[in-house]
Amino acid sequence: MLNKILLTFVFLLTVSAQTVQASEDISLDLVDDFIAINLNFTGSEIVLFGGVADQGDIITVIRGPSEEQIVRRKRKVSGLWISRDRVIFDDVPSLYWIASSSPLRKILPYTGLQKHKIGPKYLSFPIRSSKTSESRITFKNALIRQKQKIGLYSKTPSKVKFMGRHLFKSSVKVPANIKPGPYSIDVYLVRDQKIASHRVIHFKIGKIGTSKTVYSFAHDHRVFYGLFAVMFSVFFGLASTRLFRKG
Amino acid sequence: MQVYLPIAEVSVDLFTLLALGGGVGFISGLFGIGGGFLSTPLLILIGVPPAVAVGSQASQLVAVSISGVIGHWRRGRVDFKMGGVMLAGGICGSFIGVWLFGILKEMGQIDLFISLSFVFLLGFIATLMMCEGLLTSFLRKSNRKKKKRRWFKYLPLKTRFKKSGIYMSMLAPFTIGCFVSILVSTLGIGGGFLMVPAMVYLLRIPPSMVGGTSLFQIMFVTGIVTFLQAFKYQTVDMVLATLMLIGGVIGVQFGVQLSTKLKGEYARLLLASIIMVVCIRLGFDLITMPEDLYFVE
Repeated sequence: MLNKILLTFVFLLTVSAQTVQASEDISLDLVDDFIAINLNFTGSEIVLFGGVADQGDIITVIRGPSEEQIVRRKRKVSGLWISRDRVIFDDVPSLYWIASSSPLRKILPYTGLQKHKIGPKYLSFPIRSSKTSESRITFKNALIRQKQKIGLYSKTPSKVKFMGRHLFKSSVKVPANIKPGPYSIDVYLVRDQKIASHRVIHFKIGKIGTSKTVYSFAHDHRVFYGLFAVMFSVFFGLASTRLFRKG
Repeated sequence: MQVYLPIAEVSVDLFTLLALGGGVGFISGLFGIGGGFLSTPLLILIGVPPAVAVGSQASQLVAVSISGVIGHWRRGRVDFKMGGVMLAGGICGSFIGVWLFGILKEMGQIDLFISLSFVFLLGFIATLMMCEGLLTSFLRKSNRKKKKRRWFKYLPLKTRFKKSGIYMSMLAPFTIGCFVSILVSTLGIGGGFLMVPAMVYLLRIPPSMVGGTSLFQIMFVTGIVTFLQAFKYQTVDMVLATLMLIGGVIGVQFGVQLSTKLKGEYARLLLASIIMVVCIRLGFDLITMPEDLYFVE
């Protein structure tokens, strides 16, 4: 821990020594800092506008609320494919999306990408517990692969568009299976293969209206919700037979 | 048109859900089964998380089975006494089942247990029903009424089930209700596909009584399951359930109507084929190499 703090400190020192300008280098604004989920939610678009004083490239990294994830591996045991091994990861961002104004490899060396965890392959998650003889990295890669498949992790970075030399816009489409909670966007200004400046902006995704009512009723009043669910179904069944008898 | 399900936290097509509910309701009304063994995999297929699929379809089954019971009852085809005895057994069985579920889960092999039991039970029942169905339709009543001594002949507590026209021990339907219910609570389904053949082949209840009576029992079991799922795991999505319901209650009416026209053995053959398809599908998944060996829960 102390090592990490020291490292970050040294890093911050070198960064500020090289570039002097702090985060005022980038100014940011989100079109929506709250994305509402109601019954008609089919996904959304996260639109970020920003301005930079000096020219450079921009990388944005959107991260969703962290969660625990269990990855299992199937094995063939006497002719049947059975899930045997498993690894439980902690702090897995539910959404991880990269956008960049130029191809990542061209603007930042491998070490820089790795250091700031820019790009799914540089992600690492703490392991809570594991029951496998295989390399845990294959489990991590599988997790990322599955997340990319359902559109929650970027496969290739989205585009950050520059309008002129100083203004940029990044818009990222997110699917409906997105998790509600606090989100963050890290914005990096890259110049001469180095990160010149970094800023974070936050936004929230949350349920509203009927969607929120149902969710909080189910979680905050479990007994009543259970009884309600049964009674509602009974009523529905009775009402429907009534209806059909008349019709 | 897409609709967002607040508990499942996914967005699905409204008409797909309605059609799914309708289809399962139709089968439910036709055969007197809940249809859980069909709707759970189908919901998972359209992207609903498995736990939410199980929980929400339980509440949908309550409404569908009530609606079905009333449909059958109006035609005088529910044996309440028989259903009540089976229900008593069912409640005992569900407690044993929940306990067994806990043990298997601790051993870490609950998934395998579920898949294997499904394949074995579905396969066994479908084969049994098909053979019987084919035999009866080919050798129409050639040597019917071959009175055999059955296992419950010697049991005490004999009583007359007037509606079904059977005189037998209460312990027989009680035991069957209990046994099916153990499987139900470990497998997380309504259990009609097990109950119906058991009633037909083991208890020899007249086929006209089977549908209504089994639905009567399923109605209560699914009610208990709905409450427990909502209370323990918060996996009942009322938006999902309501949409499935709207489709379901319409489907079940058509199912009940058709069931009066369809001959018993044909209905059973049809049900057997549906069960067989599900069984083969599940078995196929167990023996073929998965596309991705790794999966995220």
